[in-house]
Amino acid sequence: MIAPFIKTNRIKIFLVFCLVIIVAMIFLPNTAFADEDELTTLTEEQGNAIDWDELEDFLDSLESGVNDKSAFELFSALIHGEYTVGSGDFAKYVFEIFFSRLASALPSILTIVAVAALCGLLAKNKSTVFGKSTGELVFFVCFSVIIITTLAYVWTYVESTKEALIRVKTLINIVMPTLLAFMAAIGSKVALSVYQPAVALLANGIIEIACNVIMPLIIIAFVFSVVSNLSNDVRLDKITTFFKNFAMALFGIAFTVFSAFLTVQGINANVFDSVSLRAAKYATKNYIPIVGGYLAEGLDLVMASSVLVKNAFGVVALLMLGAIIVIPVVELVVFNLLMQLAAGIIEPITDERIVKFLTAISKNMMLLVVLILGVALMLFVVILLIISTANVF
Amino acid sequence: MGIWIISVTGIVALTLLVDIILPEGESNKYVKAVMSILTTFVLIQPLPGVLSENFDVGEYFEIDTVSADAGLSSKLDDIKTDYWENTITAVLNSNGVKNADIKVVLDEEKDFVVKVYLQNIVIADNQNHIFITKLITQIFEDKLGISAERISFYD
Repeated sequence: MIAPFIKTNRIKIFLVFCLVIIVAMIFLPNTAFADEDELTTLTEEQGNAIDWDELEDFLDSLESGVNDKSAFELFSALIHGEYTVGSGDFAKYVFEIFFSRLASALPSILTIVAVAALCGLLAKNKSTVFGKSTGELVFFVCFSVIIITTLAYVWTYVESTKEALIRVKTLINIVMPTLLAFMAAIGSKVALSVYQPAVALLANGIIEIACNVIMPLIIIAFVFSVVSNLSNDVRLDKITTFFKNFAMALFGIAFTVFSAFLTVQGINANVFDSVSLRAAKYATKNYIPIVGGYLAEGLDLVMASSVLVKNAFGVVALLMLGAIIVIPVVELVVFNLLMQLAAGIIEPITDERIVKFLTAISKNMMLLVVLILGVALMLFVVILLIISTANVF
Repeated sequence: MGIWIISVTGIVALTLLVDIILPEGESNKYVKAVMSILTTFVLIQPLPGVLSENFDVGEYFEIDTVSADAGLSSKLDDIKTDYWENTITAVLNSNGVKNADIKVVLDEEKDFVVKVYLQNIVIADNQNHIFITKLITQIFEDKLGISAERISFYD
């Protein structure tokens, strides 16, 4: 009679004990340390430790839709989960720029179309109105007007492309030391050893090559596109194609090598660091039952706040990158489309050389777009990989 | 490179001018042929220079490193160590060790040691019989999981 009673009681005691342990394991660490206020305080402390002045000055220098908020306001909004930019807002912003640039470039394009049409009409009647030589001279004068009008724009866009690349470099030099410091604080040693040289290579190697080697090659391609269409007797199409392809081959090699190595090494390093941090956390928790979890949660809170600040700062950097490239890219795309439109309109009425010239300029514009987007994409991948590092908390 | 581009543009403009001012006739095609040869010469003009020049690709890869912001790293370490010091002090307090002056020091590898300054420490009456450093070491090991090798005591 007594044995079953004792057995039932033991089971009850065991069940109650298990329940207490489970409740303690669930609630004790949370109530003791994982306090939301404490996390907020730690996050704010770390956010305030960042030197915002340089970033604010840089943001002020950008002509973009981001500067209605300061960098710190953006960061704070991101930290508190209050910043949301929908794709609709962004698309609206891009379309606004698109149509404003379209409106500002349209008069010049209409000038080009008008001069080309005039040139076409004169060329068609040159046998009756002028002699061959005079007709050619008139064409040359009209073509010069078109070249000067077009090259004024081209020069502006080449300059804005160079400025965008230099700004990307400046952004790297401003944000990367901060992001790397947070990675060091979190303990992502392996990822840090991968990203530190990669970032230096991007800022001081690839962007320098883009500015000092690839941009001049594209400018040569622009000049030869003009020269090639001046005379029917001297054709420079193939050498123009060579310079374009050479520029793109150099950039292609730089982009492929950088992206491939960074992605493979970065993902590997991220996994290694995440596993190491998880292992450290697991070891602390299991070294001393219950109280170990208590301490691990406390350490987690410091790490979690660092991760939160790192990621929010990374997103601010990405928004700034977007702000740097969006205007030049949209401007170049608009100009490229307008050049194609102008070439399309004047094709039936004017000399083939003018049509070829406008088409060549339009194609060369896309090289500048590829250059900006390629460099931006490389930085985007770096920042994205840094954001995804050590998110184990 | 700039001079070369100007030369190419110049020779093409000259060809165009010659084409405009040259009268129709037998000599026209010979002049055009000469201009084409001249243009080719101008186009290949920089090649010998490019081939003989020691173009050093390496100079673009001798790069300065972009390193972590040392000032920020130090501030982040301070925030981390302050938080740990407060946590350790709270655990010591709850275990009867009051007024402990704790310093957490991080080395370059972000590994830490804890310095305990004993001069102001007050321990609960029921623990007076225990040797103070032994008591604190025990609390560190049992409650915080910090091993004895990481703790150093100062009077």
